[in-house]
Amino acid sequence: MGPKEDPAVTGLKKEIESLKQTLKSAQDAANDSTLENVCSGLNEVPRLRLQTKRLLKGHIHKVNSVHFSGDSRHCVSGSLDGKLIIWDTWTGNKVQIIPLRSSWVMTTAFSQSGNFVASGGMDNMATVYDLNNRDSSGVAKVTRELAGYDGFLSCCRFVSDQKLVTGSGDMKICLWDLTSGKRIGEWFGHAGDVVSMSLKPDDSENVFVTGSVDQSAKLWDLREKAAVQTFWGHSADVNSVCFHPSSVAFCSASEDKTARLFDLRSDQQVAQYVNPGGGGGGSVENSTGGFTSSGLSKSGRYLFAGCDDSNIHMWDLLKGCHTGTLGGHENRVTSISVADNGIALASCSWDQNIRIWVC
Amino acid sequence: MYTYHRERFLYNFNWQFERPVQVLPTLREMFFMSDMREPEYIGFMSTLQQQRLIVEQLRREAAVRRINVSQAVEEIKKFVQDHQREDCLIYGFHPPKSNPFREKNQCQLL
Repeated sequence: MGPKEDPAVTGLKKEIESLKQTLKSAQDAANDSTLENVCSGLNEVPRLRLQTKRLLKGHIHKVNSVHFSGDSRHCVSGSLDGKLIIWDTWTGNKVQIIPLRSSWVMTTAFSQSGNFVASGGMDNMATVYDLNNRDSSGVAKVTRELAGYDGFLSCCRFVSDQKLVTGSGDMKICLWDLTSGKRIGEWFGHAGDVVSMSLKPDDSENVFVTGSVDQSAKLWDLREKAAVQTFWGHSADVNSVCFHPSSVAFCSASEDKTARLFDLRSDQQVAQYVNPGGGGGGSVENSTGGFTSSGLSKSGRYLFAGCDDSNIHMWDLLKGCHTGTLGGHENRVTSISVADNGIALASCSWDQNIRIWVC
Repeated sequence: MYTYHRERFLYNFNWQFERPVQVLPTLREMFFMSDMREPEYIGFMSTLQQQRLIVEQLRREAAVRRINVSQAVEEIKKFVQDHQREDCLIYGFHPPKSNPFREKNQCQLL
């Protein structure tokens, strides 16, 4: 394509190929066992008996995102009806309703402290609301409107009450300082929309992993200028990533109907989870739809993935087996969130409801 | 150092994914990138420069120190086993009164 290639470019291309080979060989060299082998002696855990203890109704359009607060009690949900609702999941009450300036919300985030929520979507902006400060009409005040994206806002997370990290459709990751409203960092590396991110539990101020439409997941450190590690394996968009509570691995869920576990220190995929009767290579008629979201239980033993088929699938992470589904939603499950203290799982769906699942 | 490797994924009329095409930055993107911290990336990046960045990124990733999968998985397994008993989604609440979602008994005035 284009004019005759410069020999320097050809040389670099060769080097790129050989570096990719080196990477692959190094990963294969570390691949001396499988998760299945190491965990073969483990006992099975009791089957999860989760029930919908709260059915949160209030939205009048598809709900795209739900996220628990650090207090494991409140959660925020964003819907295409142009509202953010802050729920008290213990009582089922709506604590606040925040009307959005643009109804095309794709992501929401609750700060760990519970003081702020952020949302954004097709308006190409991230907006931060202060829940403790209301404006004259009684609605949570907008503290920041962060513009400057070349694409839609697809994911965001509060690193702290003062910093927000975002992933967007223009393939980049931005770090914003909320006290000044300025962008303090920008990271490139993904070759497609950055659709999901998850902060590392033991270093949530600096390290996080992102999942992207370019089929890879990347590990970032805010102190470094480029991605630290890249994880390949998925054959379609990586719709969601979630760090394992041990902080040494993360799971991902993808459009290719598989969920995978990637380990940071061996720098590769260590397990794959499919839905029996569907999943990677299965026939189209049996397929249950791609996974849109993922979450892990507090001990990291159970993996949850929300699916296009309206169910939430569950796997025993260590044994690799599919242990069941949580049914109830009547349309695609778009987002799930596990409470920090592990007591509940929240899920939201295109059926306009949010369900809180508890044992 | 930023890996500025842009590929647009093209879809044909049947929404099937076609092979990616490399795209050099547009004027708008160059302008947009100009508030990056490193001023040396302002300006038009040739394929050569992009390839160089990719090579550097791959070198960094190849240099990462790895441990064996068996050892890594042992540690994941140990963490899970250490914390499994406290996992409310698996074992529920002990005592049951600590479950904030439980149905509270209605008191009746006699």
